[in-house]
Amino acid sequence: MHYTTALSFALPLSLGIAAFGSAFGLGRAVSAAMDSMGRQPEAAAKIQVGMIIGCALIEALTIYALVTVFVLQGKIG
Amino acid sequence: MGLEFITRVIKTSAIVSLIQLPFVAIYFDYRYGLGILLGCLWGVVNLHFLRSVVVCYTNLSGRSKRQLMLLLLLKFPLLYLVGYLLLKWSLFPVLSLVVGFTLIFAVILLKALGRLLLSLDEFKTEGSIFDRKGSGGAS
Repeated sequence: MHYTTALSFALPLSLGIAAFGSAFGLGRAVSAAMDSMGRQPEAAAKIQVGMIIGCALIEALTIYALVTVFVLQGKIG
Repeated sequence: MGLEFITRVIKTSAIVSLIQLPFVAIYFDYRYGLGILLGCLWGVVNLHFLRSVVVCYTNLSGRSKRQLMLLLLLKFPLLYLVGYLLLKWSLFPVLSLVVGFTLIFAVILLKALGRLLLSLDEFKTEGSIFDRKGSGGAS
């Protein structure tokens, strides 16, 4: 199998796996944060900051995967 | 450490990306400088919209559905379309865009480390290794 064929199979698969992992992580993080805010409304501001930074970091991983796919896409003829 | 932490991170990242522009443009390549600036601005706008969406959604007293819809429309399709076009047009090197996008996380890390080392806020929980009064680190 030529490497471009392998790349054309692997790139969408890897992006899908990255998106799935990111969505799963975001869902868990936001769910846990909402749960914590419901239990302790007085600590909502602190929990919000942690949640926002966590969401940004999780999103960034998917964006890195997307950029990598874009870069490698150029190698497929 | 409240929501003003994120505001300070956004301001610091924007200022750092503006400061690096002339240096990278003069000593390396102006396209790299502009790419870092645009990548950082994209990350800053992304974080700003993320904060606005979370605050708007969790603000139980004055939640406005229209505002939330507008924020979601701006963040998800439009911002990602801009990112896609930045990558697709290849006016700027991809590496510079990635470096610019990563800059905001470096700022978050350094600001959090600074607060931790200077003991500015509640990182010191009782019994943790950073708590000098408690039993956590001194035993």
